[in-house]
Amino acid sequence: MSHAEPVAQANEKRPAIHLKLFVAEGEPNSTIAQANLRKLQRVNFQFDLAVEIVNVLDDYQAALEHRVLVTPCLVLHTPLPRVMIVGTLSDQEKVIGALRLIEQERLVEQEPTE
Amino acid sequence: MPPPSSELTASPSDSLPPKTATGIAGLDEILLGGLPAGRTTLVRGGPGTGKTVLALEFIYRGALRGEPGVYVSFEETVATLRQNARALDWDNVESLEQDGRMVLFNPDLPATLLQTGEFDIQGLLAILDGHIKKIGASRIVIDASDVLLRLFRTTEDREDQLFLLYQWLAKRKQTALLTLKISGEQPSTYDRHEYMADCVMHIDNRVAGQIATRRLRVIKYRGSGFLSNEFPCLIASGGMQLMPISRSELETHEQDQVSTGNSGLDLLLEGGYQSGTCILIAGSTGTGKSILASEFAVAATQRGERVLYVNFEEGLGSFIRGMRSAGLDLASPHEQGMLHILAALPEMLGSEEHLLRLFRIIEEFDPAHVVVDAISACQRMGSEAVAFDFLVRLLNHCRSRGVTCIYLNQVEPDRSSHWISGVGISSLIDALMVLEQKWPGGSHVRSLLIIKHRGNRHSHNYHSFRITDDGIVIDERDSVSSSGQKEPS
Repeated sequence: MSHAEPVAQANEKRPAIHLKLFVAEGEPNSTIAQANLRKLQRVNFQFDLAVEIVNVLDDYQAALEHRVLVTPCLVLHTPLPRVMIVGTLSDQEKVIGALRLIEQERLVEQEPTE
Repeated sequence: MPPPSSELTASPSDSLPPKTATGIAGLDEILLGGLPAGRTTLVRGGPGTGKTVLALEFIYRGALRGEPGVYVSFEETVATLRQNARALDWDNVESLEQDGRMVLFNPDLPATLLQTGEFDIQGLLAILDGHIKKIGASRIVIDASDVLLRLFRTTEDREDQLFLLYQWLAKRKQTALLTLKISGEQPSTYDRHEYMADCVMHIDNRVAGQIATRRLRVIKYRGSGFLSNEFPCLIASGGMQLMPISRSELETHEQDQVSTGNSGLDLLLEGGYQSGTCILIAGSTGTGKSILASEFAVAATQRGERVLYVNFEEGLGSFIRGMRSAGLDLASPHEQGMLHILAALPEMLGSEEHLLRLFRIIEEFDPAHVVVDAISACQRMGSEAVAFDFLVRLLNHCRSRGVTCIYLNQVEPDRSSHWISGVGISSLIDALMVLEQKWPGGSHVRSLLIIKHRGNRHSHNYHSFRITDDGIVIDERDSVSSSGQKEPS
């Protein structure tokens, strides 16, 4: 990313994207998804990725509440609209697009020019 | 495939797997005790065959007898399920839910799923685990399992998930019932389904001779025998009813043919009606249904067999007078106590009271045959469902006592496709005749067609007949239809 800022400073200003990753702890697909999400977190976006891992095997109420039937399942719940991505998150481009990370980044970039 | 000659594919023995009684009328007899306990059963069939009712009743009966259950539907909302239950007269479903004896659950499947990489149904299983533990469930239903599997795109994925599901159910020792909607060709996933299930049942809804009939058949039962026939299957208030009539029971009645009281009809039926079975005579008003039934009644009383004639259409006096004009004397056997004519208005009593009254009369009068004229009027007891329930219970009662049931059904003229509509009991009928009338070129032509006569040979043609001063006369000259020669049946 071209506009790399010192991380500590950025954390204070950047708005956060709240994600929940629902996993079945120990299941291969869930393990792969967790690794792929960590990779995504290392990319420097305009936003912070606030990630909460929910193990459905421990907390079925959370799965019920978020209507999660299949795992792994990544849910973006703030800002709205809600997005749900299932699978191992193997296609990073697709995940970035679905989470609107690029679009929002561009909007932010465009603001000063207008 | 089980040998068709034997009712039982294996004799029940000590080595039978433990079973869980479903509590569904007739089903446990067919399954020789119930579903395999702690194992998975698959119910497959086309849409509208009654899989959901069967599955819901399995959970409901379990809840009533202290075996809590979880019902998962991928097709219907919880509100719809509760509504279905109320329609079946199960008024206490909601209180059973509140008491933690059953859980209804409709997982909200996303319409479109953003997908990248592989995934599995662990989320669902975790939720089910939570429900099971919460109420201590031992029964579980997964209704419309095909809808769940549709989340997965490839056949391999579907098979993997199915395998996961079956393994998971087995590990939790749940007596599980999965339903699968099939239509037309069977994708290979379904074969896997059947292979993995310990017991497989099939329900279908066939239309034959313009009569729709639901039938249930057990396809396999690992480690156990079962009744291998197809069984008529009814959905009435109270739930599903299966009639585990074995072929041998039917055969005992076969020898017992009795005259219809009409020599022409006896010829067409190659002997007459089978006593102890149910005969349905349908036709529009004025086609001669009551005359045909009265001829039978008079002949039976002359043989020394008592007849109960339930008339929902006419009062006693006008009925006797009307039959006299067709040359039938009902007054004499009535006075001699051989013929009991019960003229009743359907709307006067509830179906329950009607039924109890009839049971009492049958008990005291001990008739060999019962005529109901006409079953179409029974809807006036409340509704179609009430009439259906009344007629099925009366029929079962008669059948258990070896009493013949002659049901007359008045239908709308010129609506041949609705011959039996409104009463849906056709699957229980052993013999079916239809009387029709037409006015080609100003003349009045009546004709009779025998649609079925279970286990017996019969004519397959239309036969014209006349109503005379001396009863019904079936023309010697054969068919009135253009269908040509009489079949050698």
